[in-house]
Amino acid sequence: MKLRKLFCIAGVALAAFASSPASAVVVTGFSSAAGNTYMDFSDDGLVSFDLDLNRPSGTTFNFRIESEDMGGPLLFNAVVNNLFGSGISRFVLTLSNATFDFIGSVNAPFDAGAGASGSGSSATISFPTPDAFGFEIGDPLAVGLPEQNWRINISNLEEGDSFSLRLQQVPEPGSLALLLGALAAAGFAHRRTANRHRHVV
Amino acid sequence: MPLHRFSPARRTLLKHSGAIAATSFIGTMGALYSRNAFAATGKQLTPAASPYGAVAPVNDLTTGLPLLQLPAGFSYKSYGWTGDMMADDRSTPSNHDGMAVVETRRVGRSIEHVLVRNHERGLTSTLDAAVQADQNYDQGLINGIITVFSPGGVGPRVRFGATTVASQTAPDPAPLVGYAGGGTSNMVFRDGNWHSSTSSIGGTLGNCAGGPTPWGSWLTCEETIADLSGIGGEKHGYVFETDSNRADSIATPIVEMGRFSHEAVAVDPLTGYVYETEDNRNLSALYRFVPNAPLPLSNGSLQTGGTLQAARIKTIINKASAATQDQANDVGLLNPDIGDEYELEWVDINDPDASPVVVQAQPGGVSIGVMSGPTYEALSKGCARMARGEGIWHAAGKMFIVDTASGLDGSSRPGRGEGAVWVLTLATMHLKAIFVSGHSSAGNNPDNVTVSPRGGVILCEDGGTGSAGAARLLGLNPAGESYVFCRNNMNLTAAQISGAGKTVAAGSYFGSEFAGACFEPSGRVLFVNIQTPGLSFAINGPWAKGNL
Repeated sequence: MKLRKLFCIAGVALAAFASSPASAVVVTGFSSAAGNTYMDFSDDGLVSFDLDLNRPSGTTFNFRIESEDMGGPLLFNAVVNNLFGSGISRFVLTLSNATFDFIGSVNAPFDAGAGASGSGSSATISFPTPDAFGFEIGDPLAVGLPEQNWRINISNLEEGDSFSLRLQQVPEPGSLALLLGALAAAGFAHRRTANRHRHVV
Repeated sequence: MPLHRFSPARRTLLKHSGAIAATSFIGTMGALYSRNAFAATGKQLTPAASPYGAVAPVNDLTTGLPLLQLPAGFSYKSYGWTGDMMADDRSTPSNHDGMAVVETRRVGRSIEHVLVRNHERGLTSTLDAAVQADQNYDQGLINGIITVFSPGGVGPRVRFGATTVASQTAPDPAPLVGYAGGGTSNMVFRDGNWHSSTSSIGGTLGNCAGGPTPWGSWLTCEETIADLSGIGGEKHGYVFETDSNRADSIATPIVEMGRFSHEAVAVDPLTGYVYETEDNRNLSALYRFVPNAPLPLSNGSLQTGGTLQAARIKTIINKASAATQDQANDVGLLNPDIGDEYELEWVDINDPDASPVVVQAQPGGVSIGVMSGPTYEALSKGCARMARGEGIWHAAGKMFIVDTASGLDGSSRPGRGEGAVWVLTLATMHLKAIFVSGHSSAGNNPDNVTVSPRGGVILCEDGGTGSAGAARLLGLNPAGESYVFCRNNMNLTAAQISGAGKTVAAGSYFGSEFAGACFEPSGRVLFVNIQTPGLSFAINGPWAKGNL
């Protein structure tokens, strides 16, 4: 019931639930644009997923802490696949009810200058050249140094508590201009339609 | 780490973007190419504006060298240069040509794409210099000349050795000496990075292009009709099957697919029919192979044989200049205009392994030439003549077919022009010219072709530097008009090559052809080769800005 309410608030029809293991971090909610999907690789003390972005959209994961996750910060890694074909200038990660304990590595195969910074509940991944392929947060493929997993501080949480992670890409300026143009055109069309309807009425 | 073929669920994930794109692609295909602004003039003379913007030099992420010119926002990595060591401790063969992604699979949490790449090579001086794989066809030492006769042995003959001699009075040429040096190599691209490569078929000749199959293999095509069986080797001019797992490749020719100067093939996934092009100037036909094996086909199915058929124009649907059906079949495809359209029928070829013959006085100023045996039978039955069939690619129920020499040269000879792209709609068997170049700036002998998961057509030029000054990758916009997507920028000094750890020769390669363009299923990465000095690229960028 609570989850259903959450998705209604998010205004997104997706209600994908991972077939999570009985222990470890559990994904209890996923909200993103239609067509965006994920695979959960979380384990004891580890938040880990592959996120396929077929549509540019903000994405929110909700997690529940299990007993096996207690005792220290959670490790965090992910693979983000950019499948919508437009460049991403920045990628912002925001935690609710938890904070980043360590900002680890970012590996973008087609953008050697990618890097991450941040503190507290927010981190930003920056791409010198807008990224149109995708990237790895931390060390999801277990290649070792220089890749390093990020850490999430959950010291204020107990078993059964929840936290969330929102991921939001910032489009490259060109795409942003196109998006704003499209929104303006849509707004104009809506106004024309509304005005015409008023005349009819 | 365990290796798994893709689960359907994961395949769906990766292909999702392609599926979404395909919906709109198929929706637009009906109206596609009907608005070509150049249709009124018959041929396109200048490139259209690129939706991706102008190209400029971009440094290779692997070597730091400015090897390609690309639109803003695109980047690339080079791999598999000629001479680079492969995982099987052999050096990468030269002459990179046709290529495709034949399998996408999950290894642990990684995503791997397996590509097969052709190496269009002739004879090598030593066996070690030839492509050597687990599976090899012709390993013999070749030493001698071969002679092709006119039908019935009456008339001129042509002798092939170190040179080709068509004169009846000249002495024999110096002998052919060496080993069949062509073949294929398999490459793995993992998680956005080049990973490894290995030899995968050897002992073949002139592996020009080929085509991927729906069952995860690559059909590699020999562009030759040389019968070396009398001088130490084997008969050539066949199609072979390279598997994504190189040990499962089959170095036995698929004889019933025909023996001719093969260029490329494409499989209709609904029927399993394999459509084949032939590259032999003005002595070429368009073929298809109807396998005996029932669907679903798998690696080795084509070895059970089938029927070779050649295309014949049944109906002239649209042609600017009046022609009879016989004229259309004889020369109609050699100099098309944009919008020319025909209905095809298919004619059985009785002997797909027939020996080539010498023919005279053919269209386009071919005074004497060597025609493959199947094509001699096909044209004798009134089938359609192509100039030089090159790339062919299946997408959404259509075959995109390139004739690299359609058009006229400066002496108005047909079949010696700048090239054209035909689309064959499989449901209706209608063949329509959607792009015809009338000047090298619009299209300089396009060769290999691919279609992106979003439905965009990419052409690889093979006409040298042309008026543009370099070989290019061209896109076709939704109206069928060509635009410049990428330009060869390879002009390397010895210091640059040495600094990159490569062993190729210094010099300008601006005119070297692009080949083997193909996308992986998600459409994020375009793979392509430059044939000389021989290297492969993976290109990524904001594809959504345009139609590719």
